[in-house]
Amino acid sequence: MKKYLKIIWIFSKVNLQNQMAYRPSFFLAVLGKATRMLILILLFRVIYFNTPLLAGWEYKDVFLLAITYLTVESTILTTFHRNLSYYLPDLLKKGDFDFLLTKPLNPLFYSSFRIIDLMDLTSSSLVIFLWYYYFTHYASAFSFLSFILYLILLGFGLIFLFSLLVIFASSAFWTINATGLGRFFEDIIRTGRFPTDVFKGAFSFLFLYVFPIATIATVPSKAFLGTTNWPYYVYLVVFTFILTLISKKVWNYALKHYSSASS
Amino acid sequence: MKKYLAVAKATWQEYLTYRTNLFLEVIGGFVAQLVIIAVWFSIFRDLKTEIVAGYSLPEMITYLLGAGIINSFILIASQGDEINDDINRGKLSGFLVKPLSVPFYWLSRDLCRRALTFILGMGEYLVIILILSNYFIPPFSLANFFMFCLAVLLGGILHFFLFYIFSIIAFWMDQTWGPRFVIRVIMSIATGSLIPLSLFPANWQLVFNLLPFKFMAYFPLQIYLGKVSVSEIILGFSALLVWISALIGISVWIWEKGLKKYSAYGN
Amino acid sequence: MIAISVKNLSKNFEYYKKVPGLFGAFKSLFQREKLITEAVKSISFSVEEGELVGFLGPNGAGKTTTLKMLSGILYPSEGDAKVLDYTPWQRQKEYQKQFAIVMGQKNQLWWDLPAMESFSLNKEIYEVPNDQFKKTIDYFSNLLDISDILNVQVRKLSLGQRMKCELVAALLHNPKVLFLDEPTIGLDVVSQQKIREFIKKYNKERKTTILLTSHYMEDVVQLCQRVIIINKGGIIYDGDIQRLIDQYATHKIVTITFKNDIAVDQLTLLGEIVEFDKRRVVLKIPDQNVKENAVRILTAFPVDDILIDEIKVEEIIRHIFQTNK
Repeated sequence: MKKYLKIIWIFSKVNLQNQMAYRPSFFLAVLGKATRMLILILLFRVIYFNTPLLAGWEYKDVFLLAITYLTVESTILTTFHRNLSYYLPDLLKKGDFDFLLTKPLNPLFYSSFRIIDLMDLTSSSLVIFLWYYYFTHYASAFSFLSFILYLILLGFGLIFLFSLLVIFASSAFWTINATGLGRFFEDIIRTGRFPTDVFKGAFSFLFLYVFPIATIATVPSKAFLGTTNWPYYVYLVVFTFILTLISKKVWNYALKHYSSASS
Repeated sequence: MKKYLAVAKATWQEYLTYRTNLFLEVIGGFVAQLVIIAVWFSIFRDLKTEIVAGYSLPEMITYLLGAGIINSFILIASQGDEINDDINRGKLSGFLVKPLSVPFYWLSRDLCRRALTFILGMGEYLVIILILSNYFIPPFSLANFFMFCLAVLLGGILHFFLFYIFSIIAFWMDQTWGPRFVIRVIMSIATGSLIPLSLFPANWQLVFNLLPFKFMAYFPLQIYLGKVSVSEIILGFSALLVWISALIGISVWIWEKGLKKYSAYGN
Repeated sequence: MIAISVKNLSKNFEYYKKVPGLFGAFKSLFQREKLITEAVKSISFSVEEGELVGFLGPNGAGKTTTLKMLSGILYPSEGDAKVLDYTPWQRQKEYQKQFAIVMGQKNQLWWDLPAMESFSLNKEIYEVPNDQFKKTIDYFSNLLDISDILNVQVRKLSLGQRMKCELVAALLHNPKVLFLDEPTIGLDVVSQQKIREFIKKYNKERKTTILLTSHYMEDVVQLCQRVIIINKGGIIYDGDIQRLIDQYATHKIVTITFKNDIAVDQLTLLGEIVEFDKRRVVLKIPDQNVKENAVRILTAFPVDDILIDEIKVEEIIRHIFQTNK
């Protein structure tokens, strides 16, 4: 464990140096990323400028949902998203993945956290500010327990996304140009920035059970606001567990394929 | 002209090999747009009114579907990464020795990619338009439809030159994706493809009117829906042409300065 | 003690035949022709601890594939291999900590950063203790003369300097077995020589078992006593390099320069003509006839200069590959 933390620390340090080498781009990137976050808030403001309620959500609650989404997005962007979506296909293309397999380090760990994106970490400080803003302007009383529940659900959301991305990324072992999948993944995740309550009928079922995008922001935010749904949480735990198992199998299968087919 | 057609043909083939990636990119944007449509369905359902901010539900749905189709032509372009790489990795030298205008080479490649993503996007949106045909309204008039198409095409050219300028500054910079990224972020809201610009508070609209981005979705869609007067259309097209000429002018100036620097120092 | 033992190791690659054209692509959706390449065909050998063995063969002979199997990157199709009593493709951490692989055509160093950063990553990955890390870096800095480039961005280094750093990165954890795949590829002659000297010295001092592939003959001749020649996936020679030379060097190369133009048919009796250019001729003459024929040439022709050379090792190897086609 200590070894893995140390290695993550080196990855972050190294990448900061790398990105600071191109200072103008670094600052513009941080600026752009921060603006992108604010645009989500702006989008909701404009929507609520024209309506008082969105699928039963008031603005102050949607604000929580938005910052929850941004928290999750920043977390995965800083850590595994780009590693698995873009850098892994690149490693495979150049054949440098070979080295990864010879090292006494879990190849999935290495592939997922090799480049810790400090640009995203820097722009994430805005998320902290937004949280501060939420607590000072919008938050009503909430219980400590619901906050704990919120964090746990957020954790499950992250595991769900990670497993999903591992399955996506495994396809890179067959089709070397898999970067389109990364973009696709980003767009899919983005559906989570709206309350899934806007969906009705089959779509609602789809986003709650088949492809539970609701776990990214809607479900934790609701828990935070005091609306719990225990049977659904049980479903979620089982679902995440099964998906994780599947992703592990798929990844191992992909590694096996790499070791028997690449030249 | 003939040689650029040849370039386009070769590019077409090249991109076809990446069709899965392009397809995924288009379908990703498509899913995102569908979510916005669901949001508006929900709003209209909750408010129980016919009109929100001057838009009826079918108008809003048509607007968003139209914006999605335009996006597959304008937004999902290569956005200058290739031009930046050609310059920074010295590939440009190889082009410069050929009897070929390099900017036109890039333009033909870019249009080719747009055509491909447009076809892919069109296919996906046609399915949804069929499903939502109750909510889809045809263009206001035939004349409006033609002007809509023209506006979209010009919007694409405007988009190309904007990103072209911010790619050829690669003559002076190691990386140019920083400024291009910032523009893309601003564009995500300022083209009006997520939400009509008229829904913004008045002071925001003022800002958007001064920027060129509204020509990349909002303006053509207003023409399509017949929400603008003839004088506004004329004014809009004039402004669009002024923007395009200005960007072309700036790009030619930068290109020549850049080439001088490139040939003086090499890369 | 035996460090590496390989028994009947084979590796086949399967791929599908690509039919050109749109129609072909369409057809291949339904019906594909499967092709199999046998990259390595049932090879067996073993290497003693501390030995430095050269793996020779042309491109595509199966050298790299073999090394990749021994490093656990590839699973074999058939057969077995043990390195330090581990089965490589099980990828056990205990094994991975005891070997290293360097590939001349790929780099594991961070491109935009000083090599030192990559070293400290490897230090953590291989769990090298601080003091040992320091000592090792000092040792290599002296040996390879790289102390002043450790803090320079890797992309600013020359190819030779970069290869030195690659070697250090691979050797930080003091591996017992080292696989070197084309370590001198693309380097200039001076750098090649330096890398060779280093490998030789390192092998001697640390008693590390080294398996080296190269298609530069000099690498192998200078470094290895024993050579394994591989062609088209199979081993065609395994043994002492000197014995190989003795066995095949049955001829000498005689180069003669004449004072006047000479007709070529006058020389055919004396030996096999390799090159002929009016006044200059290169002959291949069996060992036992060299003396006698040289005398005959000197007396019968207006000779300006005469040179007698051993056959080059390259020639011998090329000969072996050609006869094995």
